[in-house]
Amino acid sequence: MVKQENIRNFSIIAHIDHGKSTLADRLLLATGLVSERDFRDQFLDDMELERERGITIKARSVAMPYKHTDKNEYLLNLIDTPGHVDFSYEVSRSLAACEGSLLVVDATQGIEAQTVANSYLALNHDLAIIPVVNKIDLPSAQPEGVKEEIVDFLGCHPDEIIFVSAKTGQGVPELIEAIIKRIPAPSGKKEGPLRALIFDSVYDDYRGVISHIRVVDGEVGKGDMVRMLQVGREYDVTELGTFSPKMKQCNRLTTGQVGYVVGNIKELSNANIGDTLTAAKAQVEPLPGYVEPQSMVYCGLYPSATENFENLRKALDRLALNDCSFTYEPESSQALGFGFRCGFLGMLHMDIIRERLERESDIDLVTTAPNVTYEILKTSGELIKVHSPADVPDRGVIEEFREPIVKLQVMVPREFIGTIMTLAEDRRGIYKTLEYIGSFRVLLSYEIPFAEIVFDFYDKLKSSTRGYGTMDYELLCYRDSDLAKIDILVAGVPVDALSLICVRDKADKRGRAILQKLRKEIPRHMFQVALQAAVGAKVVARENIAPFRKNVTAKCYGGDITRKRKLLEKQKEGKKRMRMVGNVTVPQKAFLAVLDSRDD
Amino acid sequence: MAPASSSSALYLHIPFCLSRCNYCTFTSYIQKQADISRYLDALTIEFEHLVYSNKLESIYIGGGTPTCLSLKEIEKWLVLLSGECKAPGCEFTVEANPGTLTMDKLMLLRTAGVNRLSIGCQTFCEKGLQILGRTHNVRQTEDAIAMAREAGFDNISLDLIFGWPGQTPCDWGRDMEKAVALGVEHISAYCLSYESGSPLEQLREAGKITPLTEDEERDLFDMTGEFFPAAGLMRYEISNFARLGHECRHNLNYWKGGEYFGLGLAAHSHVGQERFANTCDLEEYVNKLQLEGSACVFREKLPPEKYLRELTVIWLRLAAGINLREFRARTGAELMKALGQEITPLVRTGWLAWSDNHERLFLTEKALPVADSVLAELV
Ligand SMILES: Nc1nc2c(ncn2[C@@H]2O[C@H](COP(=O)(O)OP(=O)(O)O)[C@@H](O)[C@H]2O)c(=O)[nH]1
Ligand code: SF4
Repeated sequence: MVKQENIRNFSIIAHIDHGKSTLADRLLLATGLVSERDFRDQFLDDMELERERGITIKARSVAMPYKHTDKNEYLLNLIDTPGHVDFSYEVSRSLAACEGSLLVVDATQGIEAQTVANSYLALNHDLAIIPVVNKIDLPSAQPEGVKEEIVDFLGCHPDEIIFVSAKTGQGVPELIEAIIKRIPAPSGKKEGPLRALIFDSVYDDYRGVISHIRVVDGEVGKGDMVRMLQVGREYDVTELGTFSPKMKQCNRLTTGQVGYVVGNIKELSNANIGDTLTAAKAQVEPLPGYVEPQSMVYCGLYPSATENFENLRKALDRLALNDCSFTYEPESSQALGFGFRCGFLGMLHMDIIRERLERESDIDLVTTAPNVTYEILKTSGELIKVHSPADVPDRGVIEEFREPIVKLQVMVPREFIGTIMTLAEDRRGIYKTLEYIGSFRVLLSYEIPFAEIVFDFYDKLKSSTRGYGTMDYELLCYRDSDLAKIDILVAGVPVDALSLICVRDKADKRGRAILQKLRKEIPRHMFQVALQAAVGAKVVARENIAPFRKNVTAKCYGGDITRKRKLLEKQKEGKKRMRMVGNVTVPQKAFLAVLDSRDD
Repeated sequence: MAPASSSSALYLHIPFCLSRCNYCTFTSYIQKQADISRYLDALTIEFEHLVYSNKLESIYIGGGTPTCLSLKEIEKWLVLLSGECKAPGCEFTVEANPGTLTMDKLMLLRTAGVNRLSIGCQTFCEKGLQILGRTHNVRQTEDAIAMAREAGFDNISLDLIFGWPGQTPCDWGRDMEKAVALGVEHISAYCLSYESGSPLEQLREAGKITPLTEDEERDLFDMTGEFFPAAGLMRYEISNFARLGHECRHNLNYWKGGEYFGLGLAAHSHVGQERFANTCDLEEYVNKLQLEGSACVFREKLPPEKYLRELTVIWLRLAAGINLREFRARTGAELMKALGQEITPLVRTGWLAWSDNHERLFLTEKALPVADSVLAELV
């Protein structure tokens, strides 16, 4: 058993692509946990989709036993963190289980927006930070320049910075040395009653809920009766163990250790992440958990074929078991039938869930345009959260219509300051600060409505800064704005699934853009189709889709009637796959028109 | 397997051409001596396996370009059709392309009983011929028609294509005038379609040519429907116009769901509510015939309802529409019982109409240019 003072719990934080995963793998090799022979690229990203996209979504951990030349046995627990802005809450979750952090910076790129944001998170958790400059093997590496940036930004001593190449392994022994020397051992009370932080949870068909825990005080063993403090549920620990990197059973987890516990819990509601695990009878204070992840973006997901509704529900239930940050509740739409309103952390999260649903359950989905969550203060004093434009009450009863505001940080080479200012101001951003990191790059901070950046700001930023710009954001507050709900009418029929919320000033412009987009998506009919955008009873934009003018094919060569019939059948089939709004057929893609029309 | 029945129409495919037109996706090969003789041998085998009881009322030799073969080769397939297989007055059509016709060939066809020529003219505009990738010029078309008349052909049809990139209403007007001035008895006027896989489609995808807009095509379509009837060529099918009594009997049979045999590469047959098709691959065609005596690779018997629908949408292309009595006689079914639910709303909205005391159902004037959309409701 490793002594408590020889345990090191740490995470790696980095801007995306700076080499976090590669470094993690390198550490597995260097500590001898994984042999050169078994080495598979990026060990810790074991979800197919994650590997495809090259990003980590869920926190993972691994325990690396390490025999030091000083003859001591150490246990290095690495708690991996997600690497995308959408998932910054997950970073915070992982940091809560650590005493230290490796701050990895790419020697060819320098500090980026996520580096900054993640560093602040780590500092807030009082973690020891080890700055690491990675990719020094690359000819384009500028370790000296990056060193200056880091010293400037963290206010650390230049000698504290470790230079490595995760690819070749250069510098890694020094890094391990630094982890052991500079990151404090866990300080929990060995004798005290058990307190463990549940920092993640996954669902397994056979074992039920598997909670990932960090033991803070005391210890937990197989057969112990434990209790989840907040949910108040008690259960027997039937299995526990560590990650090496696969799950490996053991008999106890002691103070400071990281591992998993299984207790035959089949319902997810009992796997509350952030909760404190304690001994059944003990009276303890809950650990300072962290804020529950909040769904920031909502959209409607509907099965293409209505008979798939129950299958979709099952698929969502399954997914939710492994992803507590995503929410769903049934809703219905006149145009789309029965489906679900789903909440996500951000657009990437939404894409991933959608892709996974389609891939894992083979259900074709219709997605409605996503929106952020709004808050409405009614004249009655009641405060409601609105996840769907359909839920916006009458204007008469709205006292305040509030939208989420985020703190946006953008890091760019200084020649792009003007570009960013224009971009942010176009989107109702309020300038806050400008800070130089090194002498060439700046960190700009804005307060900006989340709705203005969530959908496409990242792409815009990249394209307008030749790929140099990076960003990060965090939710600040909800703020009253002059917002309005726009209804879209097709042939006089309001289409609930196309409604959206936007700033009143821009309602005409948005309305017009959406109609133009719809005009392209909705096929011609045998009659003229009128499209209208309305705010309340006032029509703010209109368009018409002219009827078919010509649609007739040539003769049947050599008596090939079959081909002709098939062509007509195809035409009819195509129509069947569309949705009916009154007597107008609307293709499923059109329901995303609201989203795509933002820049037109 | 050789479909045997009372069918009295025969189609025969000659899959060779001088070169490939830009819009073409038909089964056709650039002519090569060796291929042609092997093909004609195989065709002869297929013909010999054919079992039929009735004399032929119509024969149609299509392609490809049947007339691009040499005299000797033409003779080889002509002999198959000589003599007693034809009913008296049998309509015997051969497709011909300008530039492949000679007086010798025309006389050969005449003496073998061919009494109708369908000439692939497409346009009288040199620019158009070039875009379409036709190898003949306007002069050759005029010569071909003059020669055919001289050889005694009194039933000539012209194929025209409108709607090619760059064509103006003025261009199309001139083409129609010219066709009428040449005094032909029958005209097929098709709007160009960009078939997938054709060179023209690739040019369009590559942005090298700009197709006419739907509205422009519609204007040309409307001109067609006004011009030819005014010149005495009545529209008897969406794309076909004829002087009275010169409607193509062979094609009418297709549209009314009649039976027919198809011989040759990629040819289709319709016998006893079943449809058959031969392979489109020349090698396979030759081999299969030598080994099995048949080159059929597709066979389909639709369920009764589908069959009725198919028949309905094809038949409605005729200007006269569907005569309920004839429909009943052909299928043993009541049209309105089978499809009344779809037909009634289309009549209410003016896409279909009745005449002859509710005995005849036809596409209205306004439905013709959008016939596919209307028919898709019925298929
Ligand atoms: N040359 C070189 N490439 C590296 C090094 N570390 C990471 N990379 C490459 O950088 C890219 C991003 O690395 P990855 O570990 O996926 O980044 P993450 O997004 O932070 O997890 C990958 O293509 C790695 O192969 C290094 O030290 N040297
Ligand atoms: S002549 Fe007819 S079959 Fe031959 S290439 Fe031209 S369009 Fe095709």
